[in-house]
Amino acid sequence: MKKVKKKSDYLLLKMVTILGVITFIFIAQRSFDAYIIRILNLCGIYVILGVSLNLINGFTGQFSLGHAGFMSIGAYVSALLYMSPELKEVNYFITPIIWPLSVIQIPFVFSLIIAGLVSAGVGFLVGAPCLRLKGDYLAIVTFGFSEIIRVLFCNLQSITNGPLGLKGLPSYTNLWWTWGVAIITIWFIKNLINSSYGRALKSIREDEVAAEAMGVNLFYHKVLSFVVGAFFAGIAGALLGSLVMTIDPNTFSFFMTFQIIIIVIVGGLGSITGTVIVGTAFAILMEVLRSVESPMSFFGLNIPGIPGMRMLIFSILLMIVILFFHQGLMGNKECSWEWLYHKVSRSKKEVEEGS
Amino acid sequence: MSILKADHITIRFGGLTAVSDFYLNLEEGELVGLIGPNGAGKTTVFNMLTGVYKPIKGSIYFNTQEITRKRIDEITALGIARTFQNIRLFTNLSVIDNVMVGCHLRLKSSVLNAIFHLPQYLQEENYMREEAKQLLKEVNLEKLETNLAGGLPYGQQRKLEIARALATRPRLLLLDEPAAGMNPHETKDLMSFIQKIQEKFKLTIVLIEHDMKVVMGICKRILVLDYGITIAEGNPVEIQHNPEVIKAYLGVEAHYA
Repeated sequence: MKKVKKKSDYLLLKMVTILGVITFIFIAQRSFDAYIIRILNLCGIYVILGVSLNLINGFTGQFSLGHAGFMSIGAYVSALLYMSPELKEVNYFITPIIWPLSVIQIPFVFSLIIAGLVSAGVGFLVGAPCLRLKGDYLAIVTFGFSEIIRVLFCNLQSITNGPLGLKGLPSYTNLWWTWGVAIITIWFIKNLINSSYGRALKSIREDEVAAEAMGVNLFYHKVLSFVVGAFFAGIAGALLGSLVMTIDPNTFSFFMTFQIIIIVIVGGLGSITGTVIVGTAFAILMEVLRSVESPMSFFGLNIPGIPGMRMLIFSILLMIVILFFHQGLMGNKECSWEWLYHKVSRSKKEVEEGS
Repeated sequence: MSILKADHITIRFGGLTAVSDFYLNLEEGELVGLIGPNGAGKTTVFNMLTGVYKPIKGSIYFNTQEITRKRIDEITALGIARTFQNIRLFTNLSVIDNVMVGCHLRLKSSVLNAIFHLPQYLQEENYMREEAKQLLKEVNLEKLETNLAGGLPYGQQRKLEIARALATRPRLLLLDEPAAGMNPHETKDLMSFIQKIQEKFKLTIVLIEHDMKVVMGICKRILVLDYGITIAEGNPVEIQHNPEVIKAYLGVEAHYA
């Protein structure tokens, strides 16, 4: 008789993994050198960004290009809240910062939450009218939104310090923050898409007309996915701001959105596992591939350093994935404990039967 | 008791009047057929009844409540469900998920409740799953519940679509060509299946169908549309001998007699 594995059986496995991750972060934070920690931090941030964009693009099927805009909002909101008044005075030497913002300083954790909430609020305001559009039109409008945010932040000098940006931000971001938030994001979005609401979101991706005819409120569910995505994008932006310690409106250009889109598409639209794998790999490759941008000699041929060569390689990778793995690396499959268990037990059985 | 009343509804697309002055008064528990040549406006009628198109004239009442301007999902929640002419399943979702999407509109738990898996949500989720399994049993798909809906054979996809529509707990079911593409044997099954679910779920059914055996076999009342105009209404025998209908279908009257 086949024994049916219950969810609780995987509890131990989960606990062990979580403990393992915590130990890893603990060791990494203490003993790894700053460069590697920085890359690992970026991994975490890319995972948050990828998973949140996958919710909108992959699970709900709404092609949004507005993620950089939400990140920008998150980064600025949090920075304005956690910077000390003295630091603000130093930064805003051309146009002074307006009153309430000039004296506010709150702890990092609250600034993160507020950054997410403001970003989600803007997500609602943008999503409500835009999500009536479909496909390319939605992509163009959300792209426009992220450009509007960029231009707005360039010109709101008394709030954002304009194109000068904010410099010397305190470095709060560490592995606990990035990986902690990444794990919360994965957990939150995984639970969302596996719930009844998630089924409704996927039904919208599959067939909007049929979903609506089955009583799914299109507006509510699309805005829901947009707002949740914007919330986590805002937090990721805030974490990135404090990691790189300097932000200006052009940090969050279309280029940023493009990187996240690559992560989501290569990982597989509709696969959190794929996004996590590719998000991590992307952050590492971004650093490893720096070597191709430095001057090198090749069979006696001297090639000067070409900035941007990395992106060329990413474009080629993207094309290869689209040509050979139409659905991305993972398609819409997920790697869960149940799935792993079945894989392992099946290969074990095959070994036993074989011997 | 009248369950649905379409009170002289008209719709135009540009210069084309797709449906003109359509009147339908459905009594509870009826099984009505809607027939007519291709392009007669049958599906457009369904689209107006379910809120996809808004009629430019006339109004629609469901249980004496006006639904003419309501949203599609609101109308579904009130109790009108439909299937589609060209099957529109959620092909990349599993069979049971397809049906459970139909249950979603009755979910009371909030989003946060669902994300944090609070007991209220888990209870509702279990209940929805049970209900979906029951419905799948009804259409003999209970063994395939984890399969992808897109991988099912055609006839089973049709049945799954009906199960999905039933999951919204409708009082009025609109079936758009349920027998299209079925062989005579499957068609026969389908006829008894439709009668069975009508009885079991106490449904009122409107049926668009080209297969005359189906329409004449199970419908007590038939409406014939041609170029958006209702040209005949009556029981199967009356319709079969109506000269207007014969003209619409065959063009020439003399051959038929």
